Amino acid sequence: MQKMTGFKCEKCGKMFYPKHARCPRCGSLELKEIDLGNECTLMTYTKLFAVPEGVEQIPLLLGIVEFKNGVRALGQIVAEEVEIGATLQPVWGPLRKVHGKTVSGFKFEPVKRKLS
Amino acid sequence: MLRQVAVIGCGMTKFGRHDGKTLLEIMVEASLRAIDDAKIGERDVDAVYVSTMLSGELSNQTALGSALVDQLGLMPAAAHRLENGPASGGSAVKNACMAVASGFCDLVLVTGGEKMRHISGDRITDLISTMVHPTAEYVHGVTLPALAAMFTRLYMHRYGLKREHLAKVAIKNHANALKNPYAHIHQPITIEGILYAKEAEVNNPLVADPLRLFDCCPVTDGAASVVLCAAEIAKEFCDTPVIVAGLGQATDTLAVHEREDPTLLKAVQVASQKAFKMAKLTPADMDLAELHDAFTILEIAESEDSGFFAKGTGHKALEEDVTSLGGKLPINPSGGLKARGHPVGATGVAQIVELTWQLRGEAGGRQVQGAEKAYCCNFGGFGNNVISFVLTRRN
Ligand SMILES: [Zn+2]
Repeated sequence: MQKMTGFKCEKCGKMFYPKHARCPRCGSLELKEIDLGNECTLMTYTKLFAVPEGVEQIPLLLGIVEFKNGVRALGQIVAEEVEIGATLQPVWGPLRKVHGKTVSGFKFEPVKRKLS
Repeated sequence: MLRQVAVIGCGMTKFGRHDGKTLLEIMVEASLRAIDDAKIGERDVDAVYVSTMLSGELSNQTALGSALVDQLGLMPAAAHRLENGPASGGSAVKNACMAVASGFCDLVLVTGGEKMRHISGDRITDLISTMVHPTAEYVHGVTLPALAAMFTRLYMHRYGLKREHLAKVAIKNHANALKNPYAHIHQPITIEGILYAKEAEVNNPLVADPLRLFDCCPVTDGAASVVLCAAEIAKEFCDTPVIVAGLGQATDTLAVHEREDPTLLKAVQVASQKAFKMAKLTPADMDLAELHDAFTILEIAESEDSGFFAKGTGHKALEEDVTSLGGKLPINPSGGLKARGHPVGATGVAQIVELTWQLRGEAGGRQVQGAEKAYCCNFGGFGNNVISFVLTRRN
């Protein structure tokens, strides 16, 4: 399974996603990939009804999530309904078409808690 | 600035739908009005700045600076086409100001325009979306309304903003636009009609929850134009020059999620602070403001981050009619992007046109009485590139 990766500046410790050519805080070029982990929290979201060309799903649920290390990311949410604060996990899959070709990436789906 | 810059002429086409005319033709129309208004006669124009975001994609024409100079017979004036997303117009005005302030040019023309209405909704939505982060936003299906919607939800969650506040921005700006003959939308709306009535769900559908159709600016064709010159020679052309007292520009992260506080428009803060500092004025000195209300939430957030109201209180000022025509600080007397319309490359220039008319006392039924100082904010991307201006009337 593919893991969602962020970046960490080896010089100042700043963690971020997506990639930048230089550290957004100190400008260093010494950046390493880090695992963002399997759990994140939904910060805000929208149900998009007016989708762009290349997106077939209506409505498209989009949200901004925050990982435990504080790094955030934006992505599609694989669910019918969500709430701010929901626990989600990254999952790889097709996102949309760009110039007729399907592009894939990480989306977020609710973590299914095992019944004990 | 090394020397002061004055606005001596302005003109616009009606904003709306311009079927049967090319983008270049509507740019010519706005330019001729501005040139006529500036009464520059046979005087040589040193440079022309054209702002448009999507002329290549939508009108199959690029390098519009050269084409406009040719149409207007302004050769050998220097010519540029400037693309900076929705801040293209502000960027063009700013660069024109720099050219005059530096002494490199004395007399310049700035024309912004866009023709967008002949393209299907999902196609235009996609093209506009190409300005967001390519891998962290665009490929996920993000649109500008989607970013605005996520911003709105977080803002509501934190500051107690209600959908009625958003509706009030739309109602106010639609009412203002009724007094602006150049506005795209001449349609009075009520809170019953867009929120409470049975038909509201149909007439005002969700675009990106919680934002509805009437929270979003329309897709508009139109052009706007200004003539700028060195303030020291402005009186040769016009009795009522308007002075560019201050300007500022700032950028922020391309991906919205990377901002420390995603409800804070930092670039608006920095750009406005720079503009006020240069003008040696404060937000409290302003008599009116034109803000970039591509979405209703943005008028509220920009009214705070420009320095007019404390963070989280913009909707209170709106509620108390402080920002209505007749209030202490009328915002978007023109109707704003919401109702004047948003031909993307024209908007930043149209803001300068409205400020100039207001400061000259030529704004007709929407005139802010006695206006002497005014502010505008042109907002690119989702707040990643912002240009603010402070204009004053020279007495
Ligand atoms: Zn660093």
